[in-house]
Amino acid sequence: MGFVFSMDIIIAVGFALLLLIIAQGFLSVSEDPSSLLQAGRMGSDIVAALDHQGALDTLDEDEIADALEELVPGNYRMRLEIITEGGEGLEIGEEIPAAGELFSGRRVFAVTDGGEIADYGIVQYYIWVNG
Amino acid sequence: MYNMHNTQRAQAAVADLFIGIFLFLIVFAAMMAMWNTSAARLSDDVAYREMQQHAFQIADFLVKHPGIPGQWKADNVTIAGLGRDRELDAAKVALFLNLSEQQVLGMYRIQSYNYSWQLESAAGAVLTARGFPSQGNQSVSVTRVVMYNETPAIMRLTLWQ
Repeated sequence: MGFVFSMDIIIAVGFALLLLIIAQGFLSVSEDPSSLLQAGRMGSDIVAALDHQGALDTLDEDEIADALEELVPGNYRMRLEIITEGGEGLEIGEEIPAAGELFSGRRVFAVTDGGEIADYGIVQYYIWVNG
Repeated sequence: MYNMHNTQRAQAAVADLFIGIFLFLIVFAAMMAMWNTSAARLSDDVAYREMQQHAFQIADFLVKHPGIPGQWKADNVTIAGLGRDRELDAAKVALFLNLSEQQVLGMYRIQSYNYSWQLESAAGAVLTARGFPSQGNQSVSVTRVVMYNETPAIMRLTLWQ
């Protein structure tokens, strides 16, 4: 009877330790949201830089793509979808991945012609960490 | 005969008791170790997130806000900002570089941290910098794309302790 009782204790202790190990595993898994936060800021900054450089204003797909390539760091991927009030539409950059986290935002910009505002555009950007 | 039988039962019960106490101590020790590890990790995590929040807010202010007052100088600055909408003002960058360490740490309320700040060209060459490179256990680095002298540049702010 004494032996059986000890076996019960050993099994109970085994279960208790197993639960502790599992709980420890859950506690050590905490998501760090900083990479997505950083990606969001990066995307917003890059679109602002494209606007300040005058690249968006051109509505030229190649020019915007070249400027974008210079600005996007190697560990990020980015896609721009531009639509103007006048009906022009552009899609620039990488295809959005089917899975994984990404950050998206919008910026409104003016399209100028000879210093005068000729049109308005909205650029929707998507940015995600490469890999 | 009755007495002998009684003694054997008592021995078994005492052995079980010792085994039980021994195993209980093992589980208790494991729980205490886990508690201490988790408490230390939680404390580190809270400190890290606080530092992270400071870093993001300061970097945001530096690249988006002209500062308080708007036309600040070294002798009247409340909080230094460097531009508007990620376009840095070269004159404000020069003023910022000449502020004392106490002014910078005090205005952003980061006296408990060390920091490094630098501007790099898009190719990665350091254009200007202040503060000290990270030598601590914990650090948070925030990277922002800005326009500096009408050229794209990278502003990097690192808080560490």
